[in-house]
Amino acid sequence: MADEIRIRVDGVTVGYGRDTVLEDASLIVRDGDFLGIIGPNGGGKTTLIKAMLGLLEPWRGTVERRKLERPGAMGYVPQLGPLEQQPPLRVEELVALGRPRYLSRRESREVTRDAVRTTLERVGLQERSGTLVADLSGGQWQRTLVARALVAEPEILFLDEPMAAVDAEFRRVLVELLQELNRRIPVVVVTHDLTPFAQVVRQIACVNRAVHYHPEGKLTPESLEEVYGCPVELISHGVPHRVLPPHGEGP
Amino acid sequence: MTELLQHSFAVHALLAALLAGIVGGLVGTFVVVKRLVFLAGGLSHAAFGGVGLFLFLGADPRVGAFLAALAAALILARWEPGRGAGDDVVIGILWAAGMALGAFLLALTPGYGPGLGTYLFGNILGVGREELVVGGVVTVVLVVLLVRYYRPLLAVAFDEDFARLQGVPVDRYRYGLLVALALALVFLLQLVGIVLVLALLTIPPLLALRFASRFAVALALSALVAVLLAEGGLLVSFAWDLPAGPTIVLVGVLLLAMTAGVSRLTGRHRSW
Repeated sequence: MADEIRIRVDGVTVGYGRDTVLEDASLIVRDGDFLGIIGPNGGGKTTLIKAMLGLLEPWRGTVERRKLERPGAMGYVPQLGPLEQQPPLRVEELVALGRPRYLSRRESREVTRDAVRTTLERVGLQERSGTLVADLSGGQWQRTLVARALVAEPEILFLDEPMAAVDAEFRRVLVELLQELNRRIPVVVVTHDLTPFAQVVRQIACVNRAVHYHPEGKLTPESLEEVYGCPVELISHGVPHRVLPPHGEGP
Repeated sequence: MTELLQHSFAVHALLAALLAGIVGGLVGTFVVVKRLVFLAGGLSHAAFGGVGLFLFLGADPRVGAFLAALAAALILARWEPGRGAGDDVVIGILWAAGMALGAFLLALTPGYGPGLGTYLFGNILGVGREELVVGGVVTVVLVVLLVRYYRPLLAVAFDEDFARLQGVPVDRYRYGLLVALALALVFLLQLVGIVLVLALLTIPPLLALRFASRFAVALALSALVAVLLAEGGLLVSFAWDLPAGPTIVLVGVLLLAMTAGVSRLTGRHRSW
């Protein structure tokens, strides 16, 4: 059970228009995996998860998804878009849009309301349920999108740069939440900075047009240099470190 | 006013304005939220090609307008920008080609037909009973569909990728929206004409989105504003013997400027 494959990406080449973004990418996500996807800007991280989610059709190769056919089975937190000029929606209404049975009117308002309330509590946003999304801070907006991804109780969760614009408190809450979720479902995180996830990430994929997969969840300066194309210094990997001296102490 | 209502052309015009306001206000809200305003402009001008062709063939120009707008919408819906020219370029070409074809065929059409101005600025006083019945049926169908499929439509309007993952047939809704837009254009062309159609698709939704606290409220408010605008502009044009289409649009622009000023003064500012 623990090793059951949920997503198999096999030799996928994909891009936009005439531009190839990802070439011959192969990857497997199994039950229990916590996969961190890192790489430089424009390297194809988002393209890779969009192909895994079925939002982009591969030009070559295949993406196989197992037991993920149910609508809402794949939770997705997209990269934070602009908050301005969103349709007038309240937080609770937006989160409800993550429930397929609500969209198709196959569940009562009470069931939807309970599911939304419980999910907002999980991300610490219950007091903002009636707020217009346009009035949210960047961090609250991110929490709302996480709630929307979780409200349908997904079988796998994808997050694209989830730490952008969030405060330190929510970073901690999100990592704990993902750790708890990962006991039941695989989690895939695209990030520039693995540091917040260092304690929980188990596999790493470095993406820069191609995918370099590290099943042991550890990185070396050499493997990063291969991806980024320049020497990379590892400054933290799960070990708390201090850059500034503590307040009140001299340099 | 009572005297005016004794004339069937005036009653027909007021009823046509009511239907056009409802359809334009509802569809326009999606046009604004989905940022399809330039596309709507392209379709309205492409529709003129259909008007010219059907007049030339001796057929109903409104059917021609609808079919041409629909054909242009389908071309754009299937266009993949990265594979060639950007979709803005294609919209520009459809825009110009539609106008050129319409003007060209109108000039070749034998006999004394309606002038170019009728299509550019609308001719709501020429609406007949049959058109009102068809318009009424279309309006009711659109409203019923909108109410029935409101939730998935909202999901698509907000985030297509995410809606797809929830099992929403996004492409079907996008095509449905384009058909609704083509229908709305035919209504609005009669009311304000090709040149001014964008104003009725954008001003009421903008006003509504500025004040509404829910998307459903924005839709209803947009339809209400569009109806009031269309009827108000029409009555002003009757009272002072002014051209209906431009009067309706200018009243709308004035209203938009006034609400922007009030928002600024009261500090209630939304990004719309």
